Amino acid sequence: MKTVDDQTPSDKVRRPGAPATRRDFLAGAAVASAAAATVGMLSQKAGAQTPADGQGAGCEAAPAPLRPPEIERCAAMPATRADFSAKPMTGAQLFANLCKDEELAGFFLCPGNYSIANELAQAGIPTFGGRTEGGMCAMADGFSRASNEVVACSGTEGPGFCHMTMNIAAAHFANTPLLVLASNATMGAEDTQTFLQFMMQQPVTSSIRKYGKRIIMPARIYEYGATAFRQIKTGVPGLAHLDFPRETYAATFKDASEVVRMFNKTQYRSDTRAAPSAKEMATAVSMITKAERPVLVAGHGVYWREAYDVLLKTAERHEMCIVGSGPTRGHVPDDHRLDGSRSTSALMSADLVVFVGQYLMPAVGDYTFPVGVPTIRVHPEQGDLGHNWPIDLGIVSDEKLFIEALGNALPNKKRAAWVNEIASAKKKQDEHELATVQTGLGYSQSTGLLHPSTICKEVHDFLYTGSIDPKQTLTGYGSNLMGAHAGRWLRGFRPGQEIVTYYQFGAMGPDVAMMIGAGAAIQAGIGPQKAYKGAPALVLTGDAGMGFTLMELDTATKYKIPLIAVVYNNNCWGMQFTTKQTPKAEQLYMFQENIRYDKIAEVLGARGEYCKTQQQLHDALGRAYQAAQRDNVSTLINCQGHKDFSLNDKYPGMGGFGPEPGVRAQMH
Amino acid sequence: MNRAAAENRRPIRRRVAAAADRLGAPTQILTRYAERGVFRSFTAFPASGSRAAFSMLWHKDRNFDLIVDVTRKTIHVPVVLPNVAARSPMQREYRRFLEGFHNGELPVHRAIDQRKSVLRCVNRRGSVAITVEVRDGDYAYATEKLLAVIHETYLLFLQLGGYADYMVEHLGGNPDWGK
Repeated sequence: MKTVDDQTPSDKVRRPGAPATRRDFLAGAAVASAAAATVGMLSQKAGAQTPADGQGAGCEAAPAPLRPPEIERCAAMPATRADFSAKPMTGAQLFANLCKDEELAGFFLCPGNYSIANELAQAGIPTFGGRTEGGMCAMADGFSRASNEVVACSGTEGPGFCHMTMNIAAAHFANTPLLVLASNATMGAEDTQTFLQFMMQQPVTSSIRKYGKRIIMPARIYEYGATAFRQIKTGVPGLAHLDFPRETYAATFKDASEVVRMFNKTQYRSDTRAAPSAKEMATAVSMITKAERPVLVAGHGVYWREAYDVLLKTAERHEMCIVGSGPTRGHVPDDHRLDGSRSTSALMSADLVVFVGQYLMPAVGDYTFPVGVPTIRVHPEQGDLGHNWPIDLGIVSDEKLFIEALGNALPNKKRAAWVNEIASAKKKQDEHELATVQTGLGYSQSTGLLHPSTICKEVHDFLYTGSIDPKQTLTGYGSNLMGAHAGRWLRGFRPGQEIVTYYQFGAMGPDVAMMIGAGAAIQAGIGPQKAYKGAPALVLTGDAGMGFTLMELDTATKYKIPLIAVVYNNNCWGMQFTTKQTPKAEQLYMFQENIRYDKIAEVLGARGEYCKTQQQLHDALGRAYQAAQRDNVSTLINCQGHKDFSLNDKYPGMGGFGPEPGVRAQMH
Repeated sequence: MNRAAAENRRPIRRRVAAAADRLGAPTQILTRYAERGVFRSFTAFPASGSRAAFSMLWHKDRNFDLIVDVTRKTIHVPVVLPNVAARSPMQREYRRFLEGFHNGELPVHRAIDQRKSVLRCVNRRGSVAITVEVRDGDYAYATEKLLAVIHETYLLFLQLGGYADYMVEHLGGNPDWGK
């Protein structure tokens, strides 16, 4: 076995034309950009000599963005799997084979970490290249939330990795099964300051990952990769971060004997799951049967373990109220008669709560349940039972196995009074939300601008009450003021239909990119999106959060992933109410007014729409949906609002983020 | 002779014992909730005659004082909500919210039976206080109901009622999330 430092130039495994190092790449890029700049200057000069052509003297008609032909060309190429038969394998190739064997569902990156990234693409893993590491990390997260599959993201050492950090944290707190890959500089140059971009990555993610490793022994690259997949896929899913110094990814191996612990996946991990004991089940069944108003909170684990169908059967048999929680919604359908996610008041009547697969436990008082309510918690790992919320019965079990056992053990039971109470509370809450929209409508009419409550209601009516199959469109939401209303009106009618982009970590900004990633999953019809393959994705967001990943509309356009981004443009961060006692600070919260984000979208090859009224929004949604379905084209709908809509003393009656669990939940 | 007069004619030792019995029920209930982790901390001050006082660190990390007075037959929480202007829309809405516990709006298992306990709400210099008048001597019932009312105040009244600004300004809520 040789490490990179031992290699002669002829040893290096390199495809023709591929840059060997980031430095080579940068050098090449510098030449290319210099050439491009020269061409640009020449064309400007030529333009200056061109007579007026209707676009203004001295201006050339700007060509429209073109999708690069490489997208289809690369997609048509066969994938190849490296092996030891012809020549030595690199560490990167070993790792790519591992990812392929583990059926890595998607890979999202911004160039950097070239050897690993290129080998994963070559091995046939669906790979997407975009504009920023942070955006692509969020895209990977969104793809996983929508598809329920393991994904990876990648960036270069140092800067690229740092750019990813916010969205690594967002993925971690949503328990996304995400493999974060980042290259690192050579170990040989460590502590010498002789190489750009060097930093120690692992300490950065120490509190935002399930597993992390800087791989320093080339022969163990496969072993640590396998460990990462074991950590991601077993127990409570989570995030693993591997970083590869050049000595590991570029090392070469003549045969398998030079690689340590290169086992098959059936040997380095197991799919066995914990099942509840008969005694525990008997106790649980007794408690649930005796309860008059039981509520089952179906957490993230119910979605991850695909236990949603058996959950509905079990709940219906015993007439238990069910509420979904987690970073995706829909595994408890919002239109189910036993769904309690819009029956907040009724949840306060529960006399027993059963948490199943609630990976992030609320503290007592965070969830709308009665004070001191008896509680059963079912969780795949013992260590979290009793965390935050005292329990009367704790069961270590796989979520699906528990619900199946419960379904077999519970007797048929009717709870008419409880079902009526849930329905009555839902009706009352819906009426309250409609009254809020009426208030918002008044604000819209008095200002001639769109209030976020009316935007969200219009989107609701468009997606769920017209000719579109209500289960079809994949939605998500972020942003502050928009988010406070979006949860009330977006719906999850089937598993994985709605994504809460800022779940738990509360990151403003990943939402547009995350929903492009989710859009990639529904375009490919992966996992729970299978029945709706090819349907559009829609995100409700704001001008503040959107700014973080707006450029990724280029990525959406490039890959023909149709996203409808409904942007509430209120010319500000929306937090100026915090300056009541410090008015000099108010300017900090303002943007330029009336920025036309729709025009930026057009420049990036997407469509743009501009709306100030509900009717205009309705019409724009129709055109956007048609473009998405027919041509796979994204649209940004710029909904012009008013900065003062954020001020409850001027425009009262709106409220903030609502109680949990339920449609407005974003913390747990 | 009415019941109160009869009570006053009983020997002091027996009266003290009866008061201790009545104070025992709230103490047990509050202790049980404290042990279940409902409160983040809990203090039971030594009882003094017919009065007992407790302090709980509870919603929004606020201290709630609770005073049981078996002579007056009341359980009193002097500050349920701080900084609420008297005669403000919020105060009016809160009174309506409390009326819901008595007027049949809520299901039986959440309502308060007026034959047993009655809620009263006053605003003293901006502090909204709640007193439960215990009508039938069932202090356990009254304590449970009072705790439920405070709990619902924080989880339903404030969060469904659109009081995000209030929670940020007066209860330490996060400005980004309004709660």
